[in-house]
Amino acid sequence: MTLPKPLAPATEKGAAISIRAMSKRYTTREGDLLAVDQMDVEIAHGSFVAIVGPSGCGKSTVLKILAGLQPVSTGAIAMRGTPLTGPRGDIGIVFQSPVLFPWRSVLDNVMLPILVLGLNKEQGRKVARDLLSLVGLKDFESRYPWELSGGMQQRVAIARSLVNDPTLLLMDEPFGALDAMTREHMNVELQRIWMERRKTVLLITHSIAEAVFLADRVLVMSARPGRIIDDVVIDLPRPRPLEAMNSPEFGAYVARIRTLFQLRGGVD
Amino acid sequence: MNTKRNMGLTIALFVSSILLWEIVVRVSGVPNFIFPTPSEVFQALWRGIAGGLYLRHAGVTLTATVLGFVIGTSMGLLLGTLIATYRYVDYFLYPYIVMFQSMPKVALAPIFALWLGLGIESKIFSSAVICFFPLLVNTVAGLRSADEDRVNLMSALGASRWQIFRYLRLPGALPFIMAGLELAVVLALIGAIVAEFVGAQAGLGTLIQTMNSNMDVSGQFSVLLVLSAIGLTLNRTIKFFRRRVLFWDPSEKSRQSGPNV
Repeated sequence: MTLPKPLAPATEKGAAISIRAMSKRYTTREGDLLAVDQMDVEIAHGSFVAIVGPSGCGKSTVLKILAGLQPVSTGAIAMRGTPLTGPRGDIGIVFQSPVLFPWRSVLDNVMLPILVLGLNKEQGRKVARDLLSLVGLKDFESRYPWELSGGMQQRVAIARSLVNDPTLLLMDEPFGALDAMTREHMNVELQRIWMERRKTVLLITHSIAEAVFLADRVLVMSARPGRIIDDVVIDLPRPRPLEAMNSPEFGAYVARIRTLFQLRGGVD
Repeated sequence: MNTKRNMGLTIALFVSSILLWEIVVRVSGVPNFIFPTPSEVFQALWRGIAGGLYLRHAGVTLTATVLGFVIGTSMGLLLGTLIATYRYVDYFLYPYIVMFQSMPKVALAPIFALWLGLGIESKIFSSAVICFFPLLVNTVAGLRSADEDRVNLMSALGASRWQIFRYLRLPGALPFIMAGLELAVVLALIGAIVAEFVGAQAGLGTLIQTMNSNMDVSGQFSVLLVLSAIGLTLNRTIKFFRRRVLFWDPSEKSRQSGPNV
């Protein structure tokens, strides 16, 4: 299939994102609040990175900054070598809720980034249809979001996040609102989609198991101010079946991360 | 709710209340220039319709109502959009709008007659002024109701203000705007009638006044029936469009079984 041309020149090697000494400070009524403290990360092109941490550790702040929705207080971010200064059209986002537009059909929802970015509609529609079959919603393109289940809606959101062929896919607790069974199923699906598309993914999650299952690398953040306290490379073969969650290696990774939280006062 | 049995009950209830009205008025001996019987009202209605009198006056009132509605709601939509979009317009204009809104607009009808004369212009204007506010207020509320995550999604794609307006804010405001239109269409009729009361050459309001001075109460009742029919038709027309436009709105589905007011 043909994808729309990437907006930035693609360098297949090297860092997709490099975050240097990034801090984020909010001014609130109670005074200054340090949300993220001196974050240093390099994320390789095509890798799947998860961030886990307790509530209020600044995970979502990191996501908003990378999406160009908020400026950093200090430090710098570069994407594919160009400094990040604001929103750019080559990022896909998936939120905890599907954030679909109820007045648009499933296909028109997936097409939205194409319209906003002013890309070729004919070609975009083709890409959107391919993505809908990739997420298993081939026959649902003319349905409306409110006719679909929560899991299906989130698949539409994933298809939408990929339609502009983004350099980076940001996922903020994408399956947090789903029931446990659907969530596991969606984890397997996301792995499949990722293995087919090989996007750089940054997944933010509360679930240690989800992070270990999906990611090549798990960044563990501490409670406020958010700091990276561990960087765990998950060396498990892919595709990982759900049963991999029962393996001793998987258990060891989960235990390592969980111990880290317990030492720091636990996840709330 | 719309079962055969309920339909039958509705008709039975209607017929028996008309009969009760007829009997009570006849037995109590209230003079018909105070409270007419339903049969007199229907006779008056028939006379008025058959002679073409009501049609002519209703045409005038309906024209004023519809023109006033279109002008007033368009202005409300436009200004509401400006207020919701530009902080400065909001800051400098909104206090006056709130002040003007709290004023009973029907009290302005004599002034409009003074400025615009006794022709249809003053009726259109009165009608427009009264339906301006529900649209303004609802448009502002609707355009500001956009969900933050949806705005973030658009912004992260680098969407312009216009794109956010077109793809998100405006469609998201439609439930509010349609609710405003439904309210405004009934108000528009009130605006036109009040202006006709103040002084006019034709219109159902004028007809009521003439009948009142002739002590033709059954005539007045029959004009009221015509006015209710017009009001109901206008309201149903808006509802018809509302259902079409808001097919996606969850509150629309629950509303359909609710009362039709």
